[in-house]
Amino acid sequence: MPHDSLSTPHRERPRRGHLQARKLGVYLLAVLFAVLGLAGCGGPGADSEAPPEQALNRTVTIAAGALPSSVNELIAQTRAADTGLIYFMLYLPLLKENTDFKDGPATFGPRLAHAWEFSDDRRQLTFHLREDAKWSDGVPITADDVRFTWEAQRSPEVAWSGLEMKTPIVDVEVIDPHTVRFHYETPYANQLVDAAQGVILPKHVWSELPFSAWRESNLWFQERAVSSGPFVLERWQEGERLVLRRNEHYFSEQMPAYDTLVIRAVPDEATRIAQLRAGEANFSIIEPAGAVMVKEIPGLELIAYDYRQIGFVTWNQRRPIFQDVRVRQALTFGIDREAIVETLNFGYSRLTASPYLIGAWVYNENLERRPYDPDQARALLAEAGWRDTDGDGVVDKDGEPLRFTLETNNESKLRQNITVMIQEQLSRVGIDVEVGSADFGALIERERAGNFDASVLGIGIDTSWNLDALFHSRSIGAHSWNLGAYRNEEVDRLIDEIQAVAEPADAKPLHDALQELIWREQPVTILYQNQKLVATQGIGNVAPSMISAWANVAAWQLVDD
Amino acid sequence: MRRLVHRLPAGAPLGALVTLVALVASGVLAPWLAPHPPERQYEDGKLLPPLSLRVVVPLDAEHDRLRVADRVSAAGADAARPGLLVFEHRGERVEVDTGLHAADDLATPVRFWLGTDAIGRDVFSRLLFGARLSFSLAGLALVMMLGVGVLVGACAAFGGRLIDGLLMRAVDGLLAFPMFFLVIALVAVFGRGLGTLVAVLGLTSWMGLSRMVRAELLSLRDRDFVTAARGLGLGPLRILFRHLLPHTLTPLVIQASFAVAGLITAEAALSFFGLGVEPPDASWGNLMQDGRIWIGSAWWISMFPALCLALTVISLNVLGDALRDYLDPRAIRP
Amino acid sequence: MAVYLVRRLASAVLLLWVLLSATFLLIHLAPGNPVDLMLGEERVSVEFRASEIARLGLDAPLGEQYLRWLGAMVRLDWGTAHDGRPALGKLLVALPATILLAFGVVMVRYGLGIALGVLSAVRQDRWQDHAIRIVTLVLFALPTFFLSYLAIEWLSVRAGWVPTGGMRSDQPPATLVARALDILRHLLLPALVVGVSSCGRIVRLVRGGLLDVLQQDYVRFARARGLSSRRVLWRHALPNAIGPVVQHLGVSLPQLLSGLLIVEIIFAWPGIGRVAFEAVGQRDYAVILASTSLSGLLVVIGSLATDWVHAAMDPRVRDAQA
Repeated sequence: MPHDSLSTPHRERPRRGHLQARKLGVYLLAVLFAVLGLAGCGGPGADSEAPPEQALNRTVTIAAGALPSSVNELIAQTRAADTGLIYFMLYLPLLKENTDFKDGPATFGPRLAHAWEFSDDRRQLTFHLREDAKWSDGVPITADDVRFTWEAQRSPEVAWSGLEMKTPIVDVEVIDPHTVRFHYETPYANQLVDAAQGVILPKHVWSELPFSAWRESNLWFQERAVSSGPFVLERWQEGERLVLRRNEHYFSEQMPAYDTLVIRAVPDEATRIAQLRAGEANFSIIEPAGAVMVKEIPGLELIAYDYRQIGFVTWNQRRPIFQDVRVRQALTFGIDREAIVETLNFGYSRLTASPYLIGAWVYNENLERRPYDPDQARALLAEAGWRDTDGDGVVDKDGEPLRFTLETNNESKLRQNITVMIQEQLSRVGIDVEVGSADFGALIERERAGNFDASVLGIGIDTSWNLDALFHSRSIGAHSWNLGAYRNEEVDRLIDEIQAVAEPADAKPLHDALQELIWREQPVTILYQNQKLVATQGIGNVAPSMISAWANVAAWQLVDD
Repeated sequence: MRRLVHRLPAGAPLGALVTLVALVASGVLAPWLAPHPPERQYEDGKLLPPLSLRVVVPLDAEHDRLRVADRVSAAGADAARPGLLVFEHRGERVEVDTGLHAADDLATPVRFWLGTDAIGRDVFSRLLFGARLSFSLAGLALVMMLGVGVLVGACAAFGGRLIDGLLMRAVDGLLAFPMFFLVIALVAVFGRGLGTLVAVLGLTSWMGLSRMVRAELLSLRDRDFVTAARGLGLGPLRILFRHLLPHTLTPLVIQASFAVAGLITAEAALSFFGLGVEPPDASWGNLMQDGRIWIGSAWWISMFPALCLALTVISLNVLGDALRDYLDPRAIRP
Repeated sequence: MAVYLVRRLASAVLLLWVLLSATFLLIHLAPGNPVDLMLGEERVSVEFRASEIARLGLDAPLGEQYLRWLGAMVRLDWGTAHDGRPALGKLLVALPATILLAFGVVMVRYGLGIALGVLSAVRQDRWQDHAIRIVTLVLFALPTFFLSYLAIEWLSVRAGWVPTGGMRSDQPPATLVARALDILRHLLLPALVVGVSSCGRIVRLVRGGLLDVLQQDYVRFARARGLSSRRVLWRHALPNAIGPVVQHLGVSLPQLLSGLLIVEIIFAWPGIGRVAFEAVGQRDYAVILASTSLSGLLVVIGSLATDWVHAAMDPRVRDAQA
């Protein structure tokens, strides 16, 4: 512990010196310069390289919490973190998934592939690649790269986290350098989505390394990040920054309007905001608490955008009290979700009752949101037999008071505050809630074993619109997300039917019915859909998407002052 | 003896003592002194500067929903709607029907002595409750630290050469180790309940104390009164607790005053990493942490807890020095 | 000297082993596992989760994991971080930055501490003396992180004198000298904050030592010989009063490293403290253990170095160690 005090208990006797203080000074200075020199050239691929030839005069700087973990999508640590998505700036996928999910099932635009078609039996999918697409070293991008990517994605040695998306693709056949055909066992709803997932990797460079070594070779990829996207990696200074430069071989007409993109690691949010204010950075992700401040600073712009995550309360239906649907409904009526969003999230969340993303085509617009209604909650509890018979302010049934523990993960200050707020709100309808928190990993482990009452957690919602993991009875226990052990045959049937529909758009009525059913049943109480925030300074045309805060980074414009 | 020390101004120790007692008392009496519940958020009262005077308006009978206003311009004026309140807030006229009776009684003017934070909580009240938590945490950790320190020190002093050597080498080693890394890792892994914090802080800070206890005990071991007690056939434990430890009390108290300062600072440092006391509870550390981004504008959020913390540390240091001067003339210090 | 060195190192290694083993067991015994933390709230397949657990070797019994880890440590293999980089490599890349920052802090702390200490002694019990005492005490009493934010707000954002953080500019200047200056400019703020907040103790050490030395016969003699009092102070008194200060440096190294952890995060300084802190957040066991051992080793090396300087300055200490 920093256990300093200003005083020393016992005085040291002064000693007579021989080495002159001046000599010591010279020595110390020498060490200083040695260290300066060392620090100056530290880091792989750092300053030893010559500075770029042309003068760089237009730079956009992102102040990020941490640097991405890898340039290689397949070994990058997580798909969730915004900072993990560096590979989208460097590498292109076959198709671009339009991030607007409003009008219907995912649509795709051309990227490396300019055209694609299914065979009549939908068991073959052929892509036609752009002939002008080149890697940043000038080598053309071909069907071989596509096949190589598929091999890497499926390799158990690489162990990509998205591997299961590629399992239905049994083969990728190279027809000619610019034509490639994906083979499937059977047709299913998400064929195109699965095929388009993942960026295409440079075979002519990365195939030198056997798959078995990929996981341990992060640095190797860094040094060989031959890219296809709008940027090339110029420098990777570990712990400090990435410097990306515009890729002159990029085929798109939409070249970035600036030369250099710097992603700087600034772990502390207060410092990130200070960098925006000092004009040292143009873009930063911030927390709701910081947003309150950013709003008041002239020159800084605050952008709130919907994020693909919902927050919800799980009621553990292994516990008899939560098995009665009326009790679950009463709990929802008794929680003032509006107040939670307003006061705790600073208003930066959106109220929702659906497990799908608000505004997406699958989202059921007719779903009524249960308002906060303590009277209704009390009535429902009474109907279910819970009444305050002993006058202690807590409802009871058969002599047992309605009492449970509401937990959350202690990494989230927000969720801890939510549990306290829910505790207070539910006490008004006569429910005695204790709050608790635990480390995320520990909590999840315990919940999967069924050892909890109720919890506040969040979950990422992806655009495959598959609620299997959340509500299907086969997802109870082990490793999945049906933490409350919810079991309903009708729900199981609807989830399975949705996945069996070949044309995703046809499943809309099923999605609506499923949401209705879940809304009536309240296996979980959905609190809100998250929003995330970015602050910008001196740049325009910033449009974060659900996938990434810097989704359209190549289209950002520097605002000239 | 030549006196080389800074002669403290005569009033300094007394001032320090008064300051410290006031700070501790404000923590102990927080529930009675605090003008607002520490977690209550006044929706319209965000970032009010110190000394702001506002009217608090309840919107329901349970006082769960409150608004604050600059002033109430009409209350209960309309006989048909006795709960109607008209008030002005930041230049806007707001009309609210509280649905309650005698609305004029419910609109009470309140002063926010040290302003409010970004979500409209009263800084003064949180400061008081923060003192409560910071002091109890430091106090509990101190007890743990004293326990371990005295135990290890006594074992080393009376356990024979081998145990003494082993324990003191271990203490030397632990002192030379950047414990903070370990503390952070442990708190991060085991959660930051009050118990964990106390245990981790207490268990990583006893080394200097045990070394001092050992030195004191060794110097006492062969003194006459101990020999006499031994001659009377008293057991070693009895001798230790009845005769030896009371003699180490003075240096222990002095060390403890410096230690408490260190422990309070350590909690604040942990709060910086988001590993201090859990929200929404307030400690001085996490109050400062919450207010850090506002340091250039709403300075009152972090400045007052920082001042309290500094006052505490300074008082404890001055007191420790004074105690040493008056109680322990053997120790000479620069 | 050699025997002494070996003994110091041996006991340091022994202690490190005990501490690391304790850390190892504690973090592994704690509930939850790093894979779930890493995957967060993303839904991934059961197989992937299992394969990640296996990759990190967390599926083996604890005893086996411990022995495997111990064996690796003996072979000086510090393990692999979650992101696939070698744990030691991650830390070594960050090491120069930490050493540089520590050096800057030491320069400020002792430079300022000695200067103010001398002033305090020369102006004993006058207003300068009291002012220095009060100011250093207040700076000492305020938490480092609070001072850091104050410094960023006033010296950087408002005044614009120095950058808010980082170790060097995005585009490195062309010449070597310019690069060194660039780094120094970035170093100024964090070094100043930590150095200034901790110089109070040095002031007191120097002041006390000087007042003591100035009373001694040889100083009186030098004065009597007619040497100017400035010359007496700087050439005769100060070098003799500085021993405890050098010793203090050795003793305070652990606290110095702990203090750097905070400023490395606030000032975005790419040092080992930050690597360690990120590892704690991700429960990256290999990096946590490696950084614990590395910081322990650093302290041992640092205190050996100060012992050596101390010995070089004072033959009696040197003889005692031989």
